[in-house]
Amino acid sequence: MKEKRFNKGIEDFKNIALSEHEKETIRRNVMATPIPSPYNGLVIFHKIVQHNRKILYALSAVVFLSLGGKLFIYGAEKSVPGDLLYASKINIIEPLYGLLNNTPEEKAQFEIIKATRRLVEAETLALSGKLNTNTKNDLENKFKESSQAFATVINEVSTSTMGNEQLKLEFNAKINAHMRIMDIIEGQTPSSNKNEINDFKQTIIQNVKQSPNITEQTESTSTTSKNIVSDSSSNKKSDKLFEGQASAVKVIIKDVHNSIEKSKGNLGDSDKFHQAIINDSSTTVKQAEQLLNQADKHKQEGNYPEAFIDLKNSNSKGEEAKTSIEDGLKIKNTEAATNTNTQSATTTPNNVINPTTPAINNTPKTENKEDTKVIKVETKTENNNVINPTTPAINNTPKTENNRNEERRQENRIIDGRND
Amino acid sequence: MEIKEAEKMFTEIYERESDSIFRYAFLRTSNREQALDIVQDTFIRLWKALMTQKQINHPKAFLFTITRNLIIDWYRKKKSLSIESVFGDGDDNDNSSSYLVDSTSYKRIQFSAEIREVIDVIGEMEPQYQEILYLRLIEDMLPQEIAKLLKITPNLASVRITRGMDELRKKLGVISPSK
Repeated sequence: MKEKRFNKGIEDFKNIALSEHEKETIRRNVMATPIPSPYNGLVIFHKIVQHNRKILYALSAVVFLSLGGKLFIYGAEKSVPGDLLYASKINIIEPLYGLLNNTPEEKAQFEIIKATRRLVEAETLALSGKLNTNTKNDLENKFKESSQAFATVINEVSTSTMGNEQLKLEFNAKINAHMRIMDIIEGQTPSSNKNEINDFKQTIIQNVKQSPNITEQTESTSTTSKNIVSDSSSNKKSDKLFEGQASAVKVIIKDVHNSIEKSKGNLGDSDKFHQAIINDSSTTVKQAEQLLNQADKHKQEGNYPEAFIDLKNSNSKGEEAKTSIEDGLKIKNTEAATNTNTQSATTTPNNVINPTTPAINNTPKTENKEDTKVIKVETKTENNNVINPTTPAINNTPKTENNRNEERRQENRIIDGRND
Repeated sequence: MEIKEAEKMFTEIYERESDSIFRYAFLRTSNREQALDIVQDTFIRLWKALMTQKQINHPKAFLFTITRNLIIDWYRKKKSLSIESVFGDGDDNDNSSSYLVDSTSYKRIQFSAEIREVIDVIGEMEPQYQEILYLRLIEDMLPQEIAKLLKITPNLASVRITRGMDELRKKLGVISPSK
């Protein structure tokens, strides 16, 4: 009985329920409840964009520029005269970069970069056999603008610090390196292009010659050298200065060696141009090392003036080697033309592939001893000498093989005032 | 899940479970109005869960869990009874042990005599069996669903159901089938 009542109780219990009215009321109340959207932020954004087309267009432009801009800049950076993006490179990208430079040092550095870029463009065109008169003239003008701008702004760089001197050294080193690169290219291009290359080189050299404040050491620099001489009695100060500068040169030399090693692995056997660049850079960096060792030797002997001169020349050679390997490897033969001159080039390896192999005469000259360490410019004839006060004397003993090429190279050889 | 799909699912679950939820809330609160509020709140939460595309594998257990929590919250606000006296002392083991009804207030409800007998009989049993038996006998929940609701293992739920039924039969003077 109990069980029956219990079971009945269970059944009655199951009949306890909501009335229809209560059920419907609850259902309506529940369905009417506002549900916060998990996509609130996106919805607001979507609504704003939907109702305001200008914002949509602006956002699209931002996205396009950020994605496409990088591609645009990358493409433009690699362009040369005649390419579609070259005008953008010259008229948009470079001026934009220029806006980022505020101090005279930065501006001077930027002019060096721009001048070097013109040289690389000329070399790229020359290697591909595309350096015609129009593009040559155009690049010459642009180089002239940059070198004049450099000459102007370098005056604003303080001469009381080493910044002024270092910038000039760097500029001259880059010019020297590119002159050698052009020698290499000249040996590898068709004869029809050689005239353009040679003309271009001459114009560059002349242009640099005409800017004495780029090439000559300033009085204040010589004063600095005199100070070093006069303070040589305080050896500690000179030692510290020497060690600081020597460390910087060692870093450059090490970087060049690393770049050379890295590049060797990536070269193909048929890439004679870049092999020549690597060889040139190797030779130049060895010269830098020799000068550095010589500088150290002079320092140990207590001959600080000579030590600093050799150190500076080592610095210059290091910068040249660095420019040679860095800029030289950027130059690509876009035509991939057959190099008909490689045969002749290989018969005279010393003169064409390694135009800087002449021995270096490092003995200090007594000619200008009274002027202490001011390195003066000596010009013999316009055809023979180009000003480079920063390189050590180069022994220009002509080679017996292929004298004509060597004579022309002598005309263009950059020498300093200490050459005999 | 699209809105129409969510609406359809909600309607199905609501039609199927609204009475159970109401019964449970009504029994535990002994207050019809309060039970209606709890039912509404429970189904609002279900509706929100469906609209935000939450996956609900066991709707019944989900609803009962919400209802149980709302009842606890209501008791906390009410403060006339300690929660422990209704829901146990809060230990893990005692989460499933709770008194089915508030013995003082349920008498105000006009239940039928048979229903009162059921409540009285179940109310005399040990707390760990009361809710389990209610859910098993009245709501026809499966041991897995009960385990999920009470946060115990299905095995433990089955054991308690069996023992609870044995005890119930003893009280009702029914000979147990196992014996």
